[in-house]
Amino acid sequence: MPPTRFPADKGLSARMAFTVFAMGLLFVAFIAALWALRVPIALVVIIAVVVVGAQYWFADRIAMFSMGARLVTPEQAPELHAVVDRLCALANLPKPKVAVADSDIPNAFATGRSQRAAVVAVTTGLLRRLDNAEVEAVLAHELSHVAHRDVAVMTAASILGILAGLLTRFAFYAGFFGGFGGRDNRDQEANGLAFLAILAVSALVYTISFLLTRALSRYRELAADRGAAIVTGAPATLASALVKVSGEMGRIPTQDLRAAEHMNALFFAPALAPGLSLSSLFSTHPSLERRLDQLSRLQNQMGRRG
Amino acid sequence: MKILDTLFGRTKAAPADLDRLFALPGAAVNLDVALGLGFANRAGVCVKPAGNEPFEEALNEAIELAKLDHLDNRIVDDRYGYRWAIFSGAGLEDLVTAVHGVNSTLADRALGNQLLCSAFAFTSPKRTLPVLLVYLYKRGTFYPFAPVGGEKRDTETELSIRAAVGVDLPVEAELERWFPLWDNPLMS
Repeated sequence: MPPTRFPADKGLSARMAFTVFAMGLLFVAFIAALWALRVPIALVVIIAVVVVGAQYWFADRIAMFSMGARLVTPEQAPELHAVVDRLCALANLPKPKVAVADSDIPNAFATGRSQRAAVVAVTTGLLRRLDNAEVEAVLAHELSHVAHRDVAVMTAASILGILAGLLTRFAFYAGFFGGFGGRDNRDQEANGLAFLAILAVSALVYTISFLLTRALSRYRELAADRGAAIVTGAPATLASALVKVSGEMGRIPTQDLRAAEHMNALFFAPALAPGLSLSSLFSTHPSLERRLDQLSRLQNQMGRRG
Repeated sequence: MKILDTLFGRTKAAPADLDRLFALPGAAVNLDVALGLGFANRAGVCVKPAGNEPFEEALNEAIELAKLDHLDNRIVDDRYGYRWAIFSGAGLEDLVTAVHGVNSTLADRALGNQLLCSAFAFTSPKRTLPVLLVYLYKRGTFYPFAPVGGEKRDTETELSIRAAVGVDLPVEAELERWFPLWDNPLMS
């Protein structure tokens, strides 16, 4: 990313640094606790590293498969490629692969293990709902994720949670099948307690690391919004795209009634009560208001600089 | 009854409340005042042809019964395989009665399953394409549809329409069911 004319957002950087620090602290405390309980860490760590490594290496294929996205060539989607080309020139990034997912839900994502092996994807629902400037703003947001190496950062951050989760599972099964044996009552009791302790610690670590990972993810989203605003120079366009996609408008379908008629016949599922939503602690994205807030602050800063 | 239906896998057709159609003239006043949208003297019923004699008979009879002497009507088959009975040349009260007539005749003949929706066209001088108020037969609710050409829709206007008529009409609460009707015979 080119050096920016705008002052750094100290608050956002501070929050991110604190989150990463807290996770590091947690990691150290976790290893210490495991050592105190005399658990063979080596095996668990090896398994976790292999799993996370595979997930990281194949990040782009996994994401594309789960979203149903197909790669598109410049001949198949000339306008989309043109927008990506312009943005990469502006942001000084190597050009990622471009993919399109056939879905009416407006969405976009970026994935890939490095800047050189990255993929940026949009759904057809997004292309139908937004005009060209807004599509450009959304793609700039996704390219910011690539530029900030968010896949690597979030994968590293999730290692702790995966480790704790694995250990929880091992402790549970080990305790169930073997840990409650022992030659006499006192051994039995000590073994049982030890495994219960491992279970409790792992579960606690997993919960805390989950919440911290989610918080970090929300901060990275805000940073990507900021990156997009700076690269395009138009925070208001990204704001309008976000409103169209995540607000009420994003829920209005673009598929014809007559094509969707088979769905209309079945009314057995009650809709979720309005207002029911995931707790903000669990959310991977910051709330729409918060994102619009940041974007309008950037808009004001740009206005002042002329 | 609902639990038994779930256990035995029975799907019950939702009871239609066709009388809600008669709330339209009142709502149309609000549309005019709030958004400058006037009724375009065009309305239609969209059905899925059942491909058999009884259905054709019933549909023709329904249209005959429904139309008054001074109503124009035409039948159009669209590219999705659905059939539209379009009524025009009269005011909103008359067309509401006609549409209601077609719907209830088919429902009385146990052909309610073939009914998809009814739609009423509104225009304003600023707009090139009319805005439709669509009545979903199976849900008994209305929703607006404001196309702007090229398979794009004007959702801001649609949400404004919801605000304008939401008090008088039962507007479909789930936005996910506001399906568009691209390229339908009421557009012209």
